[in-house]
Amino acid sequence: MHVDATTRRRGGVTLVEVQVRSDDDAPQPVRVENRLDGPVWYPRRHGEAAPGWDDAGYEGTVPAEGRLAVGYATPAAPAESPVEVTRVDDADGEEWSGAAVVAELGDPRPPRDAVAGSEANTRGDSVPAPVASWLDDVATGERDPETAAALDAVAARIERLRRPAER
Amino acid sequence: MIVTVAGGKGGVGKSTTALNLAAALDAVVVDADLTMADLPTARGPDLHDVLADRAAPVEAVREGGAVDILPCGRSLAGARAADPVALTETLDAVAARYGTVVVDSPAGLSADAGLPLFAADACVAVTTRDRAALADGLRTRALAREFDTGLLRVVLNRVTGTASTAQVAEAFGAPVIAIPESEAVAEAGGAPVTAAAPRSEAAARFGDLADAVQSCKSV
Repeated sequence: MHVDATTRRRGGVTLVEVQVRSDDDAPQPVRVENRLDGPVWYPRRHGEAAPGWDDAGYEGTVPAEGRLAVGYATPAAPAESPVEVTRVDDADGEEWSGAAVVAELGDPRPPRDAVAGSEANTRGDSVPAPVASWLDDVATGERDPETAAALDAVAARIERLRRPAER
Repeated sequence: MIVTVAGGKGGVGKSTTALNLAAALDAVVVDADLTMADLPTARGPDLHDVLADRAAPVEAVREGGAVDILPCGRSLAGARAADPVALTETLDAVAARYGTVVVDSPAGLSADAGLPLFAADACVAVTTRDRAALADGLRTRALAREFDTGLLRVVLNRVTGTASTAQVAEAFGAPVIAIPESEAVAEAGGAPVTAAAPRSEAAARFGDLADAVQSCKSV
């Protein structure tokens, strides 16, 4: 198994990209565990963790002589080896736990967005800190001519669209 | 002892079976359908509160009705706040206090149906002769096997006529108890038929089911 993990940091968020390659002629179940000092912000589907993801990392299968590619975000600072990848024994007689049942069969709770008055629905105008930091960069940072032209074009278009509405 | 009443498809009679089995065993019935609860509810803490760590398991058990019951809340917000994994320790706590617990499991094969099977000492599969119900029942059976939860009996519900049940028993690998399509069960509404119509055939069959659970308990 060959593991290639890269990190990119932007706006207070570290993006971790992991590729696991296998030369085995059989599919290999693996666990990708976060080693950075912060929570895993895993990909979501309908507001819930995408299949295979949990608070500590990802569990999935590298296809025979193939590749598994996953990525997540974390507020933690990047480090030399951001993840640890281990083989998972898929042998029979597996010891189940309640958490393993949920990981395997899917979290049964209704998605956050389905619940009226939930955090997601009452967030209002505020944006998460990393987004705010990125927006500040865009607003005050030095703009290269290409970005400036693109932003001006968008601003002009918004202005055009707004005008008939105000008439 | 924890017995889970399961069986993939909705509407086959899981809740009715769980209620009647609990009545016959003098057990607590737990409504484990976190998002679409079926059994009657009442004021006070329910399973959502217990799983969200807002109430103790034993505190949420309602005594004094025809059957002791741990009801489940009906709100999505309650279901969202509940930690499904806490079901195992909840059932253990109720069993430690009351002896026998019968769990009314939700339909489907998601974790909310898987956890009651994982937490149980044994299970009962409920199905009808309907093809879809049988297929879903067999999937539930496979899930129970994965968790090493033994199948005590198959409840073949709403049986009309006298066709053999041998094929069903063979497919599931467990003895079948056939519950006849019964006015007594329908008229009992939310009450156990063993109390409403103790002389009915349905009541006798639920008695057989309870005996099967008892004999497994004493082994």
